[in-house]
Amino acid sequence: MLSEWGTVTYPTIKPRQLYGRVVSPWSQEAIGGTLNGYNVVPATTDFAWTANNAIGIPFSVSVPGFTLRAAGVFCGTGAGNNLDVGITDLNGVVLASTGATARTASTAVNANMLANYVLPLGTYYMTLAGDSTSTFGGAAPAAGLMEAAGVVIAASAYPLAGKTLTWAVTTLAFCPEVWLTLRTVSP
Amino acid sequence: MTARNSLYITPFSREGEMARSKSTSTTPTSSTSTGSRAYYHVVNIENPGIVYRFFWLNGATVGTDNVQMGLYLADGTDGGPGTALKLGTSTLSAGANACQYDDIADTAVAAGLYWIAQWISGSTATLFRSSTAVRMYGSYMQSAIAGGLPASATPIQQAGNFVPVAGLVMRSAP
Repeated sequence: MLSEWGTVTYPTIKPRQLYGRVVSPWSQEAIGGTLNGYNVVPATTDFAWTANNAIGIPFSVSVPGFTLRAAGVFCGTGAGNNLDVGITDLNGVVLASTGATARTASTAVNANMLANYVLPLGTYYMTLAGDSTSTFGGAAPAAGLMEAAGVVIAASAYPLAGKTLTWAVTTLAFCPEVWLTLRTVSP
Repeated sequence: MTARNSLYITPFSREGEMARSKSTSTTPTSSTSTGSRAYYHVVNIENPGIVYRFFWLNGATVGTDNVQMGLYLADGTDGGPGTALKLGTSTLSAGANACQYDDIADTAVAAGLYWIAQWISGSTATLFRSSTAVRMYGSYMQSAIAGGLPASATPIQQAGNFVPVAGLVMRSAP
């Protein structure tokens, strides 16, 4: 920029790195405030799934730069069968997903997204689906408490890719240990 | 830049005071209240939005008392609950251990402080609530209002330790 004193060079301002971590139900971007208020802490209690169902946890992107690279979930006891973690918009349209990923017993499973996905500002559902009745780990607050946090469920959701889920209010007494990560190497 | 509004805004969501009080809050359970009483809880709505529905979470006993929800401006004394921005319909509780919704006329809200109000007609029906000691969080109550929520609040210090799982839904469905 030219002024009466000469050329002024402004420094390059880098974007704020606000999303260098994991977003889970317990994050402030999701329903972490509500879970804190409920005094519901993360847990890995086994919860029997309904085959092909999905659960959606609302979360928001309020700062540009949310580049989704991977996702994960804590599996319950017993190996076998598959899971799929992804994101839908509020209308249930699947925007990105890991694709079919094998469950392992009583441990965290991480999977890369099919492609890095940049989420625009907005509100979305962090989505977990399973193809069997094999369990997932999570906390077990009363079903109504999860409904009152905006959590939703859908049938016929597995696998997620290419689907538009029909979200309904949750009737599950369950909050999964599921997460989205903005790193290629998950913690 | 502020966070987006929660889909369900309650005293427990990030807009409410309880979200910052894990160390002292108790997990909400199904409990009775005192009849003809309203409770007011402050929420900080950070972005403009539309309130499509009120809701509350019924406990195990339903069908004996009416419940009404309301949203008040913070134009009372010292920013307390004052004028009702929107009052829901007093409705008999129905649907045990599930949320009950009151589909109101779409109500636009600007960013700012508001007070969520919940009223119940009697002391038999149960509602989900935390029994956290609430005076440190600045909630209020109003007793002996048999006709439901007033057009203008006259709050007093809360004595009930009552934080309801109830509030505003910023979506029309589901």
